[in-house]
Amino acid sequence: MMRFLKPVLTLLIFLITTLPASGRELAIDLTEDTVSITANFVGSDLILYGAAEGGGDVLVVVRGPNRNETLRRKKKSTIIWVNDTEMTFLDAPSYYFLASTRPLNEFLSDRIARKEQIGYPAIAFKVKGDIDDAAMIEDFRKALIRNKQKQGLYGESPGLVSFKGTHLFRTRLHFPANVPVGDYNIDIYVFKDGKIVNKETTILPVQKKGVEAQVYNFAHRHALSYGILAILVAALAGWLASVMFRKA
Amino acid sequence: MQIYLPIAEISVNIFLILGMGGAVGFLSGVFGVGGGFLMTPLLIFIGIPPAVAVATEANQIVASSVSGVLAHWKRGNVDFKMGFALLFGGVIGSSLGVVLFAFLRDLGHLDLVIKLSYVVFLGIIGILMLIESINAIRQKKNKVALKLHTHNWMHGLPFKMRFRRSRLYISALLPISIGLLVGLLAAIMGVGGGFVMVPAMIYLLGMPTAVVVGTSLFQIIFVTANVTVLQAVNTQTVDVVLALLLLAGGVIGAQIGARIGVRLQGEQLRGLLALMVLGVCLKISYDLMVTPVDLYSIGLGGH
Repeated sequence: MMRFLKPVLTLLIFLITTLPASGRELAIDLTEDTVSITANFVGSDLILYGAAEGGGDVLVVVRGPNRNETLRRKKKSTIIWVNDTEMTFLDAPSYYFLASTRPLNEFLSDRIARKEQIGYPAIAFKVKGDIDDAAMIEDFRKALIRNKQKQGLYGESPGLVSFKGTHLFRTRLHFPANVPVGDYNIDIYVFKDGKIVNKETTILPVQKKGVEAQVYNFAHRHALSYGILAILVAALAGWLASVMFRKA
Repeated sequence: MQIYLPIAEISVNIFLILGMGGAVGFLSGVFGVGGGFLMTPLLIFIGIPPAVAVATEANQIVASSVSGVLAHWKRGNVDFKMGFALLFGGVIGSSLGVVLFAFLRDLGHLDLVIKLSYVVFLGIIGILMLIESINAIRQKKNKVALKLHTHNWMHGLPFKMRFRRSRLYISALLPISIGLLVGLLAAIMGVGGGFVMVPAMIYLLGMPTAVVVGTSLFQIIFVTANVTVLQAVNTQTVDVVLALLLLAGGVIGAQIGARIGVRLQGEQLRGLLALMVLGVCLKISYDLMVTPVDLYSIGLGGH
């Protein structure tokens, strides 16, 4: 926790000395400007902190890169369970996390929630193909959210944003070990009397670094060489093993 | 200590993977089997995506087969001509298998086909081995000389070839079709296929037992190497970091296992292996039949 203290203090001094006397200013920063997936990556926790002049309700929404997610429903076929119906959601956020000072229904209207896609019911999931069965779409949509929550990739934490005094706030952002790579969009809203009085957006890149990135890029960009190298390494290891143990 | 696997894209405990490699290596050393049929389901149980488990296990088997074949080669127990015939079928079969693998993944039935193949093959092999070892234990006192092989329709097939090391004069179509079937299995199940290949060579081809294991290992090297390269190119699911960890544990386990294996009695050993094979088979069948916690799942390859 000590490592978070220094930047927070620096920001505090910065804010006190530079904030203009009037206007509703919002300034935010993160304790780290990227999430690096390295060989010992087990997930990452960042602190988002900021200052909202005049206070209010703060809401933070983090969205991972969009991608198509295919969901399948199992059906019992005689004695075993097999995948039956499938549905693909186009451009669904691969990661979705929401933190706020209070439960959403206490300060957020349905109209704003829908417009800004805040909260699970407001996320616009597009279904691939012509499927008219609204009940079925709803079942699959709920299943997608449920499965994503189970993977730790979707989450809502009302009350996680806390104020220190009247201006300064902070919240914790958690990225699990299975976090998808890409650019994450972080929106920070300040609400007063049910209206958005301020909004800031920042981008947080999540990327593989070091050996992890090299192996991954090699495997995807030079697939054939990677495959050949993989078998050469394996053959060499097998040969070494037989030599080593013959002498032992 | 956790390590992040670059292709599987999950974080695993390094000692768990080394330990699994060691344990399966130990069992394969004791029983003289490849261990792919145990390792692939284990990898899937701990959360490695099935596609990555199958492709990576193929890579690991390259290493264990190389280290195994060298000892047999030195003793002259590899029938290269037979090996190449099996390999010819094996390359075709495993290439078809990789294409089928990608096709099933897109359809959403890959998991089911992998699991069903395991249930069917482990079930058959396990039961056969159990019956055989029980009979062997019973008949130990009054041993009957078995006929090496019998003449039947298979000997009427064309393209006859002489396999000197195996002392056989049979149609090349036989080893080629066995190779083809085993290659197909290797690609889909992430196994070397020794557990199907060895009985087929003994009972169907009538090869002398001395050359069976060496020849089988020889062709497994190339079939799994083929699977590794094809999976690397088509599905990018070969995780070298995972393969190296499994390998390191497996090599040590296999050496310890081999030393203990020679002190145990053959029939009892085979009986134990049969029970283990049936255990894995029952566990997979149970998982297929029990009502899933969530009927919905996020598909593979949905990128």
